[in-house]
Amino acid sequence: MSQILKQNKFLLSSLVITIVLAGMTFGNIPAPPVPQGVQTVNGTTFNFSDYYSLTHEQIALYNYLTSIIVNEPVNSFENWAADQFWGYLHYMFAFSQYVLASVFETTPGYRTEFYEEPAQQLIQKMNTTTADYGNESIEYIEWLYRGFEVYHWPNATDTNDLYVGDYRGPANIMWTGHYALMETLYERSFNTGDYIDEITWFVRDWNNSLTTDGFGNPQEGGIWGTGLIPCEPYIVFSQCNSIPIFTTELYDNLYGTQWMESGMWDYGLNFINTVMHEYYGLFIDGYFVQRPIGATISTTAPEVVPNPAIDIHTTDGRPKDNAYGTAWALTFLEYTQPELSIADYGLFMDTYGVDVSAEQMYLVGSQNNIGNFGDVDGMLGTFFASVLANQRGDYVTRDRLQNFLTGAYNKVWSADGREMYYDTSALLDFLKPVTAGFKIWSTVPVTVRDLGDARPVGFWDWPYISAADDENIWVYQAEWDAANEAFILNIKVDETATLTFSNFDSTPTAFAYGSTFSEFVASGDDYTLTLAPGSYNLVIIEGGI
Amino acid sequence: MVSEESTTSTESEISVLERLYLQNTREILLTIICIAFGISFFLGLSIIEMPHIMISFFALGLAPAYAIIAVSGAIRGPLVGFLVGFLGKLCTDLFLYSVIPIMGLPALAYGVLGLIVGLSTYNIENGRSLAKMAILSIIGLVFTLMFVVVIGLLIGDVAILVLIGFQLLPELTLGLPSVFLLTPIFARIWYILKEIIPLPF
Repeated sequence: MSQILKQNKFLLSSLVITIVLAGMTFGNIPAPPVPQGVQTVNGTTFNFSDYYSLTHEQIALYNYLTSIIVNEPVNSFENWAADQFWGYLHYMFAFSQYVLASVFETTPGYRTEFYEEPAQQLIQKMNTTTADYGNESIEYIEWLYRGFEVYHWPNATDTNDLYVGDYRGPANIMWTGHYALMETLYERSFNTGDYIDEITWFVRDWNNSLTTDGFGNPQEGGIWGTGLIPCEPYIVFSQCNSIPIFTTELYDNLYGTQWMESGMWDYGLNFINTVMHEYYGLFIDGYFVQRPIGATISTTAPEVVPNPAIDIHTTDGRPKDNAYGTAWALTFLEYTQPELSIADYGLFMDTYGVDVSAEQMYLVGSQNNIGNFGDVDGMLGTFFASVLANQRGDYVTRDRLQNFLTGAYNKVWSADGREMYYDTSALLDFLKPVTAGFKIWSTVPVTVRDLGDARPVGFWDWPYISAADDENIWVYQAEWDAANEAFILNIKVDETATLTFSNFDSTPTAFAYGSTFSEFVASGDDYTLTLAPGSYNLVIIEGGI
Repeated sequence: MVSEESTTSTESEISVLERLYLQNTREILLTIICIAFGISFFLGLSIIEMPHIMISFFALGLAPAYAIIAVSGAIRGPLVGFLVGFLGKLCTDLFLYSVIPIMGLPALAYGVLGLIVGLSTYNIENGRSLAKMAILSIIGLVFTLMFVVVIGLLIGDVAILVLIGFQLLPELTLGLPSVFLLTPIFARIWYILKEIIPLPF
């Protein structure tokens, strides 16, 4: 024995070190795929892979993201680690809301407080005002702190001119657009009616800005002559305006109005697709309609206004471009102009994409700054491009971008295994929620384009899970299959949990593997189902066999 | 496989074709089969998602596919090592990601690992010889990654920060222990298998 050991010292040492090394990395083993079975109930075959599904990691990331949203007061922003990035906070809230909306739509039959509370909280955080919260408000952090106060048009300081703003607009589309879309997506997800009046006010205000001179007289191109609404007074951006355009589409679909058909965005869309597009064949980044005011960085301002913002990497006066703005605009404009957006996708990836290896690619911030990386535009461009690639069904590109974005970070699971985030602390703590949010957003099956449509007719009368022991369960799939009149539930239960179902007319029966699994208990108008720890693929049918 | 001791005096007398295992039709066929096996193993191990831990830009873990390139060179010479690295990487890129980045030049760099390991001969029963194989694997990997970085920088327009932080450092820290530890282990496994199954190479 000792002879064998002696003769194989090197090999045995290698073997031992290999085992130790492999053992140390076990914590980062990818989560197994969610089991999706096939079962036949009452002659109908249900294949769970035919329905939208969340993964275990997506739910763990969601749990992390929502924990930082709900575990602080609305006027506290400490959980976001945004010390050097206050200017990005309201975008964090807005884009987190879009991520949540995609998650909700992936499991539309699961609508408990677990989903509703963070969505509600994000809207409240976004709308923190100095009147209510003083300096601990988004109004102060994002607006007053940066030197933007009440101003007028065309002379910002002349109170006799047209009043165009404080942070609630009209000329602050980077806040009003996002805020209105957050509310509209909330209504799409939960149908409470709480925000209809406010959304309606915004849509009407946009219409007034886009089609009149601001005093009620019709004017082509609206107040700013571009058919678009500025932010960072006074610059119009295609990406910022893509948000209210998408909001208007969704608002029309939810409430049967015809604002898009009325043409309120026609002039602006044409402006985006021509003046703000033609130079590169892709969008430019910003068009100054007036000299910048407040704290807006003016290094990109043209000599003469109105004119495109100027690229800072070259000296020939060419328009400014960037990857994130283009990816963002293409993602949100695809609902309104699918042909143009889809046609631009390939050119966009060819222009900004850089192959690091087969496994990884990233985007440069500007096509005039090839060979550089590390600026915010490039990082954000890579994040947004992965969302766009997911929407386009280009999963290879999406995965390569995600490998680049998350490959350098460890997955950190909470002690109870309910939450997970990417540990970006070696680079920036601020990237933790950013990475978590974008990871979910770029991998869920429901895209921004999907969210532009209202829920199907009858949706709000379909059976759904209205309450549950949310902290004990993982809901991967939950939706009512209207064609087959069955509720599809794919769930993992950590500890015994009770689910309350609403909208069933009579006692439902749950089936597993095609056989009766459990009957429900009536509770008022609702029915409850108690599940022991385990994983279940359940088909729930009203009345049973 | 020729033992290290017996080849030392006659190494200079071995023709290039013999060194590349191309001296006759049978050897050429066996070489092709060996390359096919190597590529298959490389592809198979690349498909398995190996866990790793990141410490800043350093990756701690194992990438066994690298060791396949090295061990191919060790068993069957520099040509097989080079082609298993090059074609293995190319096939992996194509099958797993549907892309061949930078005209396949980085894949070419992976061939260098097998080429360098294949330049010497080894006695797989001997610990010192296995240690030599491990050291040459490390040298081969360092050259490979240097080429990858230079290609990315000069031809791929990849930012230097990305090349160093997102590619060189993680791959180096993942690859070095992998080739150092796994190449001799794989070589010994192959040797034991050869004792049991009469492999022609």
